[in-house]
Amino acid sequence: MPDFERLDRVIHERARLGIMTLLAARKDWAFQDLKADLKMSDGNLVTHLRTLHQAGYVSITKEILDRPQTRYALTTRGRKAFEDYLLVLEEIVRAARQ
Amino acid sequence: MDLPQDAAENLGIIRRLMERATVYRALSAPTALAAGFLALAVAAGQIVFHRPPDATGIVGGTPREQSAAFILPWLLTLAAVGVVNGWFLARDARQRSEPFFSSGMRLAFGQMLPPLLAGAVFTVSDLAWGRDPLTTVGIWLLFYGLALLSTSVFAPRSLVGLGMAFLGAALGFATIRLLGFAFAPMFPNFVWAAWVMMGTFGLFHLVYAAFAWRDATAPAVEIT
Repeated sequence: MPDFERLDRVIHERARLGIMTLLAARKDWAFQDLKADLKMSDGNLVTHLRTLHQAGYVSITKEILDRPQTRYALTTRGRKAFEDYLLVLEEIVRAARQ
Repeated sequence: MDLPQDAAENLGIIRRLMERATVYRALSAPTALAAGFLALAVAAGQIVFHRPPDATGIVGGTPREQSAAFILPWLLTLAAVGVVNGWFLARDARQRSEPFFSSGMRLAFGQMLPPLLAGAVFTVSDLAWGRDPLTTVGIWLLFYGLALLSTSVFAPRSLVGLGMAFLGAALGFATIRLLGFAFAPMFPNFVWAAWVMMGTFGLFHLVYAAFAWRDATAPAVEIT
């Protein structure tokens, strides 16, 4: 049985998992789009994005176009962590089936 | 904590969120059905009620009037289908508790806009200069196919298939004309153009609607 400790605890939390998944699906996301797709409150989303940013998984770009906008993207380290996390999940599921 | 069950649930969430973030159906199945039947009806009307022009240009009108008689009903059809599509997309967005102008919609329509604008410019030119309706149909097939294919990165397979069908029809149609094969003279080009519209915008949309209905819809994901 794979070791539970190998699961990245930063990603394993459901809300952060949702954020990481969406960020992995596209090049970058605006804050409002993430909020709408994940149905999370501003405060909740900001807190989780900050945690992911502090872990070095998410980059933040602030732009001022017609209005200020903050965009989020996975860093190389974040993408690697997400891929590793997926592999561990698959290992766990595979081991449980055997 | 049941780790395997937890892992399986997380994999399910990842899969569904990925699908939702990367798949956007810009043309709903009910819209395609309505578009297909409307196209069949409009094309049939044009075939039945067409009056071939005589040499004087009094009966059936000038080439410009012929072109307008062909194009304008299709522009009205496009407007009607646009309203229907907007209504169904809004309903789908409400069901998913998403805004109408979702990130997926903005992405899809941003991609489709350049080929659709190019098609619109050519259509206005055809209308202004009174070009052969077969030329107009070729342009519509080409740019509509390109517009659908521009969303292929995040569109479901059935929509990509529809784009391929239109692009294939446009290229086949252009090849026939480039090689100098004339459409049989039993019908005027106006009527041939209506037949092509019936076989493409009519039938292709009906086939797509059947596939789109069959596609499974992803269940909603709630992150708490």
